[in-house]
Amino acid sequence: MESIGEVIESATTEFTTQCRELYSSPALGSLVISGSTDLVYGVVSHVTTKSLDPGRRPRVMGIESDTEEDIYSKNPQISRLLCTEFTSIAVGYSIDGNIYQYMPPYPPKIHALVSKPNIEQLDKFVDTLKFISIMLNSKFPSADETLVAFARETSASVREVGSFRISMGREISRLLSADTQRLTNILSRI
Amino acid sequence: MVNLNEEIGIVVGGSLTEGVEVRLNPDTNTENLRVGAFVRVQGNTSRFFGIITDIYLGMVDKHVGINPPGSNNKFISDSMAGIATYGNIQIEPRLVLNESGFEPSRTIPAHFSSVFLASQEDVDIIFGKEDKSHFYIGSPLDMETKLCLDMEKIVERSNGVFGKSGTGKTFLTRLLLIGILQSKKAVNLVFDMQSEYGWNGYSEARGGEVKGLKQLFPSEVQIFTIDKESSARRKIQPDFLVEIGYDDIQPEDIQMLRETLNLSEVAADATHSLAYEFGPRNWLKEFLALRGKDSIIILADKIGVNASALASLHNRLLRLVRLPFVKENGGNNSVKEIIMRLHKGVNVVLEFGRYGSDFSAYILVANLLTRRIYGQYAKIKEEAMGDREKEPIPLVITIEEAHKFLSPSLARHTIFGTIAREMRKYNVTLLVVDQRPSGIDEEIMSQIGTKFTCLLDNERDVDSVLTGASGSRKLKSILSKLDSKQQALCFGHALPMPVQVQTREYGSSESYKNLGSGIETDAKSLEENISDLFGDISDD
Repeated sequence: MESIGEVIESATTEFTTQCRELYSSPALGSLVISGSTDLVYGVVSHVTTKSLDPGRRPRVMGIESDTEEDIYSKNPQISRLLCTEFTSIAVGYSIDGNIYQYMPPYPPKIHALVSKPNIEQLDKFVDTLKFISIMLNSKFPSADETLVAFARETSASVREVGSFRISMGREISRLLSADTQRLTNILSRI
Repeated sequence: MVNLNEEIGIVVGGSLTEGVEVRLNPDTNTENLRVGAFVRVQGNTSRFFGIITDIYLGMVDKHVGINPPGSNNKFISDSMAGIATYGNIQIEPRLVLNESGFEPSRTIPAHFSSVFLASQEDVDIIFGKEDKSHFYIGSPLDMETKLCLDMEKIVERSNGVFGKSGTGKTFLTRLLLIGILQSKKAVNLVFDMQSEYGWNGYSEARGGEVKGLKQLFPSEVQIFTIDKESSARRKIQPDFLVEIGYDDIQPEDIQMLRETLNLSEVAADATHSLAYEFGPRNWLKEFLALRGKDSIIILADKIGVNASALASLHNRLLRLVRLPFVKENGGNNSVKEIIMRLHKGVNVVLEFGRYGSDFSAYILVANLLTRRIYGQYAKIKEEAMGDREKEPIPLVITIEEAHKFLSPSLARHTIFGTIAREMRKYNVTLLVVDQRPSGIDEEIMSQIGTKFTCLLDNERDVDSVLTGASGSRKLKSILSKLDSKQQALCFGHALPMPVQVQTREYGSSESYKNLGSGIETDAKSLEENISDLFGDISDD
């Protein structure tokens, strides 16, 4: 599996991955897998591109007539100075091939390779949706937005779209039945 | 349709008195469930059976009701279905099945017990499988399974069939009569007011005739009639023509006819004085032989009765005896003829022809014959002195418009009241058919063992039928939801729990065959049989 990047910050609740290539992060809401034997599953909930050196902010580089492509082609050093990172909420893990949808007992190692799952891995993971409660209760700002993004991203990739959407809808209803506003807010955008 | 082995919901609350609350699973559609349907609840240690008594919708957060998702947003409503919005049913657990068999339930299942729609197996366990003494009467609502009546229990008590006109009482009664006939637990005597049971009857739904008891079971049923012309017109060969003599008519019979003959109490009571004066066998003949007002006044004086009352009595009785089957010189031993048939296990249907709509005729004949037959039965039973072999074969007497015989004012005096009250003391019970059960005396109603109730819309009728039934409030809501045809709520002695029944089909040749009638009821199969026996006739 082609890896997209390496873990640079890690906790049991979330982990941050730095992409190998600039702008090559997975979309918001995507499922990602970190590690090689014991895996940790995460859902991308925050993507940022910034300067590698925190003390050095990017500044305007192009002249008036430049397009965006011009700026990049005239300033090839940009890709060395910037990096794209994304943070994923940890939603599950697997040990010896068995998948568990709880917070992982141990966070992924630093420099663990992160990749996108293939169709089989994706289908297998979303077979049960118990991890949705982790996402809804996450302290991450805009957790709901992440959930909506996850639903949309996964609908586009799974084999059985119809049944996946209904299962998602039901699981969210189960968790948010006492809060109709939040529920309809989310459901209307999936 | 719901798969019978699929759980429809789980118990979430409730009480024994109010009913048990069941939360429906998200996949269960409330629209597939009906009030009155049978359910099975698998508790921790016991299996319960009950019926659905209410269905309602709920929501976890009331805001759903205030800001519902638009009707065009199916995804949201589907996602919420069964979770944020849900369906609940209320069930009444009636029976509990444990190792020693089933008995009335005195407790309720535990939280989260699974609830299923009852299957054929469940119905068989509760009501009994179809066999010689269990008659298949129909199916519980929305089920294909067969529901059977324990005929032994049916004939242990008097029973009643109630319902507005046109709701299928007659069909249901016919089925019950066939059930009794086939089980051989008793023999029937039917006072057939509208000529519906004997040879044939009329079906609104089929727009034509349906076969009666004699056509289906020719060797076990005989038709008696008081109107030979009507039988002739309908091309029926009755087995006996009933005639009643003046000497058969007793003061009690006239008492019964007080309302229909429009007699005052004094006038009706006068019959007793007349019987005392002229003797029990001659009083009517002598009384009616009087001519002219003067003779009546003299007689009135002699026996101490109000003259004008006596005169009106004379008037009415003259009219009564104009009925062609009432003979001055004595009847033809109809009672003996009937009893002879009954003893041989032959069922008797007495048709009234055109006199069916004359209440006086119906009441007179039914009352008179029953009184004598009952007397005979009592005699035989007492002579048998406990020896089962010598006891008379149990008899079920069917009367229609029962409220005319069993109204509060009459119930105490009539033979029918006596029969109902004495239960099975002399092996005689009643099958009352009526559309105004509120007109029947309460005490009698409470003696009726099993009740089969088709749709009733009068509040008082509903109340009177449900008197004494346990859980009558819930039964009331079920009763009001019955279809206007072919559906009945059955409860009482012969049934372990109340059940809403779709009566079995009656009228097609298939149905006749299923009822065990052995005769050829189908022209086509008759032809087949002929060609089997004689070869193809056209070959000649």
